[in-house]
Amino acid sequence: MCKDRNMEDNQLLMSCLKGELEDFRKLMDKYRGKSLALAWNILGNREDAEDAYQEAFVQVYLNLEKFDFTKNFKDWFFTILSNRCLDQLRKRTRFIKFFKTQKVEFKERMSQTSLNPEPLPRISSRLLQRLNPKERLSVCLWANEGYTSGEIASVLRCSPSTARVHLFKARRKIKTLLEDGNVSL
Amino acid sequence: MSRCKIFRYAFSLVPLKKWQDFLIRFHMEKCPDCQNSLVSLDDVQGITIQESQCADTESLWDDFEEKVREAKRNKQHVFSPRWSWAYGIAVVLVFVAATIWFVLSPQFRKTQVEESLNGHFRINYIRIENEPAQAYIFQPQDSHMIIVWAQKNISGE
Repeated sequence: MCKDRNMEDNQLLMSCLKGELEDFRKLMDKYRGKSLALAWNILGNREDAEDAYQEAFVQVYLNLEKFDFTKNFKDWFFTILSNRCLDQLRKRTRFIKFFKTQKVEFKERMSQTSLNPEPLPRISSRLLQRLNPKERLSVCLWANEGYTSGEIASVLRCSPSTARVHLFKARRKIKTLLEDGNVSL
Repeated sequence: MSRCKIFRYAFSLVPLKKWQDFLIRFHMEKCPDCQNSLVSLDDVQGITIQESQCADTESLWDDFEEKVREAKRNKQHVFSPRWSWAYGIAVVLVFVAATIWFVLSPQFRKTQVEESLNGHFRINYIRIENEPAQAYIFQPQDSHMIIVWAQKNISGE
């Protein structure tokens, strides 16, 4: 099943390399749901998730010839997407720090920008925002995509052991937060 | 459980991240209490946004081509120097400046003169009135002056 999916992705990618934009569109649509869910979980709001998704695909398009066809496209794409998300989070932190130091009407501005996370479909998703970005990423890949620690490691570009530790920490924090009732479901 | 907390605190004091990770992983895989303290897959799936919740998103293809063109333009025109480059250039400049300063310093030139004197000043033999003479070479301290004293051999000495 996984191999079939790989084959299908590779065929689409090959025709994209030949200049078939329509096939690239198919590829984008194919991964839209999964990648938006992942980005949304990491970034905490839909607009930013859509931006990250588009930027990741732009990067894929510009670097198609660098793709190693012996590897899994989904893993490669998720690596790019997660890097985009982590970049966005870094920018967001810098932006927030800047406004705090400038003492501008911070709250007013935040309410006007997409930096203020919109109400999530589930209140419990706030809980994810309590984790650090890598823990969030690990737990989402594990829960939504069924990734093993080895696969999470290839996305995070770290050792499987480190990925397992991220996952352990994330799962423990979530359990503690749920038990303490800090986040209402 | 409190034992695990102590372990966790002790692990956090380990300086190297890799060792820390190894100890945490090793402990958590073996410790039943820690295994119980992990949230289950179903619970996590309950709190994360799922693919189905994003199904209503419209295709984001429309402005994709424009974004690709923009990215290509940026790739061509924007030169973004990296900090590592700046750091490397700064190190090279400092090294070049230090070398120039050292070469031009009087101390360095003085050493060179001394070396040339040591290298070239040599007396093989001295003869006075076609007979071998005794020679004494004397250089006062902190001076470039060299005094050569030659004296005729007195018979019987």
